Amino acid sequence: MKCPRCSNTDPNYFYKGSRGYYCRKCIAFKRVLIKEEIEPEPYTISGDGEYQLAFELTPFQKEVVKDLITSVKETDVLLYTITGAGKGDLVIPLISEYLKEKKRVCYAISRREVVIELAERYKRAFKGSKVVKVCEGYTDELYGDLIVCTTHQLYRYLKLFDLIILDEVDAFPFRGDEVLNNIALNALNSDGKIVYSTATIDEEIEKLMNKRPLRVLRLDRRPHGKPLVRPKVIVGPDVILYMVLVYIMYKEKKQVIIFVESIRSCKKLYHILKLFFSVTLVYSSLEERNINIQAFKAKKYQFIIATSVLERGITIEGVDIVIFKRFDKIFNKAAIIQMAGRAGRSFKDPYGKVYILTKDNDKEIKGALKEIDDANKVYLL
Amino acid sequence: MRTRCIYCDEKYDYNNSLIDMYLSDDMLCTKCRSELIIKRKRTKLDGLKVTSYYPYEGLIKDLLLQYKECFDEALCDVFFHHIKDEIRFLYHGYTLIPCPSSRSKKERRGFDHMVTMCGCLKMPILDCLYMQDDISQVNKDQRKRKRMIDNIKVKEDIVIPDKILLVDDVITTGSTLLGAYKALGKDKLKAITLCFVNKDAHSDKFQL
Repeated sequence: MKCPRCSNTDPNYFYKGSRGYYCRKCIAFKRVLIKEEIEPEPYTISGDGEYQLAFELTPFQKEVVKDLITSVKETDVLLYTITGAGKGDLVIPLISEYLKEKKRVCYAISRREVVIELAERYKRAFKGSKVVKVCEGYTDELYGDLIVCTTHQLYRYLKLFDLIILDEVDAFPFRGDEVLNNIALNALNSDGKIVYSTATIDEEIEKLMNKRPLRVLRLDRRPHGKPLVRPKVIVGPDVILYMVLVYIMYKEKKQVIIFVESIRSCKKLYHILKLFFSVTLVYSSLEERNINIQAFKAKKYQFIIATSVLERGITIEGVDIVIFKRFDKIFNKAAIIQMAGRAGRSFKDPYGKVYILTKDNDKEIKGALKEIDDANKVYLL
Repeated sequence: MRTRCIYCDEKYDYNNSLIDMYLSDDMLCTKCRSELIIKRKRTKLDGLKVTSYYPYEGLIKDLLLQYKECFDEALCDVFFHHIKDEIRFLYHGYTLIPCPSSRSKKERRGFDHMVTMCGCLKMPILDCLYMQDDISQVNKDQRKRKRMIDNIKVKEDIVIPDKILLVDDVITTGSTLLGAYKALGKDKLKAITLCFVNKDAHSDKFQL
């Protein structure tokens, strides 16, 4: 027996209900019967697939785009780029190619906030096509020319897509989740291809690479041609770290994202700092999270205290970053690289500042610094 | 002997107890079970005495949603597991009558969630109620839920026993239970529900 949705074959996860056997490994996505014949929704692509970019791609980006379009015809692709290299824009010509051939395309990413932002960006790029966002709170409309969704929502689209772009595959909850991995693979039709994209490769991504043949494309430059911002690490006890944080906030002229490890610390810090600074907060279960992010983008606040919800995919121009790392395991190497990558993304302000305030300069921080240094080596050549 | 929890899929921690290991038929692990804390609540609806066992929140809510909305029939025995001995003792000789759910939902699920849930109580079950119109109670406010009172009917040609215990999963406004009470037309009825909605925590809009 094999689950048609998550490809599970472990007999312990099958249960015989009144309608027959079903898989319990992916039951959170609603029951799917083993004998069930799944027919993909017969929707057609009505848009023209033409796109417009707000700026021209750099020669490096154009080269990767060319490789990407030719590679995808033969095999799956891993787009391994540094943060802020413009992955979201790199895939636009590829999406356009597919839409012009009336093929079905999906862009999937773990974070809901990023889905909302990217869908708006693609709506502006593909004016003649219907871009649909599917994530928590936006599930009334499920089909369009281009579907931008969270990785969880892929369970709705069995055997449907000709191309899935899976962004930030190194991010929770997709990373290492076998069920989500298989749901993504089963959302492809028989000739479908996947473009994975990530800024960090680890053993989990290597496992993905072993599943299906994969070609790796690398891009080590940001569009503005400036190197990644190297974080400044400040080590000290808690009291000193809080004092340094207040000092940085006092001296800072630009907007700052302050990353903290838990919702509890996010709230705690917010209640103290709001007495002295123009500050807002965001975390996954906060109802006003979108309002707060929009207000920060509109420069109504100078500081935003965030958990890992803002860690990836979000572009806010001209921000500096403070990473407040008090515990060992929560902010890993990939997360630190991603958070630091929020700085220096815009053409106007390619040099930002990143501070890591920590009790212990551990291997995660050292690993992240090493990876940033390695990525910046191309500028020394 | 089960090796993994039916809900969280973690390995069982038997606390080195052979009784736990070989005699317990609980499908939840000790950690999940410890999150289900019984808080009995007794209410009276127009003369109908109702006993509810769990506040509708936390793990019991997640379990019910997975069972009812994701159609996970495998969970049917976990809900009454901890209170089944108490129910069987207190209501000895009673016949269980599960409250009906809407026809369309029953068809989609492929099973009657209340009848299946009551199976583990090992008491006589009489599935004699049905909903005349297909009204779903999800996201309905109190006023609309009141329509349910006239919507529950008794199947024809069924002899109703004297000692009846009405069973429902969640009591919100009590309209389903009252509808069943009215439809059955018996005075000596008792009712139990698995969960109760804590009204202080909600406004006039309830979500099941």
